[in-house]
Amino acid sequence: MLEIKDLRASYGKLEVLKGITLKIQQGEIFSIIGPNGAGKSTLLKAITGLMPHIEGKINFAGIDITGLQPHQIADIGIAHVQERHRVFGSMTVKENLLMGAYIKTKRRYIEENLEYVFALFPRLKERLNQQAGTLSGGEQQMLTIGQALMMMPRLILMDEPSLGLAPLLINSIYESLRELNSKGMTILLVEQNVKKALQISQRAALIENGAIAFEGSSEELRCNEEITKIYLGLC
Amino acid sequence: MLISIVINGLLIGCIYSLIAVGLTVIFGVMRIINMFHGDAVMLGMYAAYFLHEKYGLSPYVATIVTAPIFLAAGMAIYKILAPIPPKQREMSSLIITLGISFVTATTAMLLWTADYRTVNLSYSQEVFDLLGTRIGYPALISSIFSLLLIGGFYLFMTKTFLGMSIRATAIDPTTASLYGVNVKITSMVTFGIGLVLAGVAGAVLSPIFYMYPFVGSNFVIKAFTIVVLGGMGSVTGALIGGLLLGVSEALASTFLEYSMKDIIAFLIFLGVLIFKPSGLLGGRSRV
Repeated sequence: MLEIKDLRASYGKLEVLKGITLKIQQGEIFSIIGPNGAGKSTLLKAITGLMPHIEGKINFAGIDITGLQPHQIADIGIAHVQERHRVFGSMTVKENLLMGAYIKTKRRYIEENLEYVFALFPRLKERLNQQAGTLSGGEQQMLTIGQALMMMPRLILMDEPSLGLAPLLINSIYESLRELNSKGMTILLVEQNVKKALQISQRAALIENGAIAFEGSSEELRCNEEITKIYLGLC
Repeated sequence: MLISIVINGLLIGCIYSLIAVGLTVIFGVMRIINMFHGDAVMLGMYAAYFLHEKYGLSPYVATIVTAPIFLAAGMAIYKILAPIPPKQREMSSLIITLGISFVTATTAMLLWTADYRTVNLSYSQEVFDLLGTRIGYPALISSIFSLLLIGGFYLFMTKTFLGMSIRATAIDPTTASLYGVNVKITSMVTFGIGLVLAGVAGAVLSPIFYMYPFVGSNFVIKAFTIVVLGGMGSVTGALIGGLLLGVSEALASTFLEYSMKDIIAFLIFLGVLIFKPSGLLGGRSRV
């Protein structure tokens, strides 16, 4: 579904992605793990057009999306849930969800999609007219996932959904990701919480220093010696 | 007497608010300090004047004719400002729009001379009695017209997708783009809408204020005061700020010297910057 070939991206002179090649299959959760600063978030930004200079090829569902603008990529069906739950703080929860349905072809499904989001996150329904900035971190994370679902995407890029959340909340967020995936949603997950990520995903890649160090089934990565060396005994 | 001062202040305050709403939206979304805003008001006044002289159009109806022109002009000016990198935008946009402002006002001087003009309507001398205060009909109509426009604009910003995307872009353009908002086009349209509001305010002012080519500088200072007072990017803030400024000016011109009136805006401006820099309502980008 998503094919990345020799993707390079840089901030000024600093090259952050040094040739990444990946294939994400339809219907899977693919997780990208790796230390801080390895280029995980940059990879997602490069896919959705947030990096100014990229080289290589990105192909999504048969369309070459390399170098497209973020709004064009949203149109094509990729949602990008950024890290640290970036909601529109001074807008209400309802308005935030409606912004998720900004793309014209998705507006006629607003009612059904709202129902779907509320079924997944009942808390959002209670907070509908509250300003998004007043929500707790966990609720904001739910809101950003809800916004992504309003886009009816074919692929969701999730950047560190567990960041800054209490363990209980992390579990509930991951439960909803699992549920989405079981209904057929393809998810590319970036995580520092390696244990969580490898539990939920079918396949995974380890990025170090802007390049892929390992790639395989999540099972394999969990039991890989070098990875267990770095992330201590997950097997 | 106090009541009538307050009423007169509120009436003019509504129109000040309308000018400020356009300015605050432009600043909120693009961090562009639009010094040309007052000249757009001036052009709106002259446009209303000439349309009235030549075709007998009422200034209120004239706004329908001039709105598309201001929209296009605003989008064109945005095209000039767009290439400036975001970090330098506030300072550079201030200087560029100040330049456009000078050129516009000077050209207006060459074309239309420095004569004071105003639109004389058939009902200009008729008055209306409100709580013992005698109000000229044009002032009353202009104020109500402004209030309706501000109300309509508020609904536009909260109830339509375009309005919400303008607010979302003001808060976080990167995130807005990930939901499919074309930030460049949204910014361009926002600038256009901001200038339309300024032009309409000019038309609405034309029967109650004298116009001359440099009248814009007068309004731009007031509008900036209101924007700072109400909080950057806030429509409700602009409304409240405009009404406050209108009433303060009316009080000052009665109880102090008439010429003290224009000092009030500066005093409020300084006061807010020193004591409450985030504006009366605090925070920015609320509607």
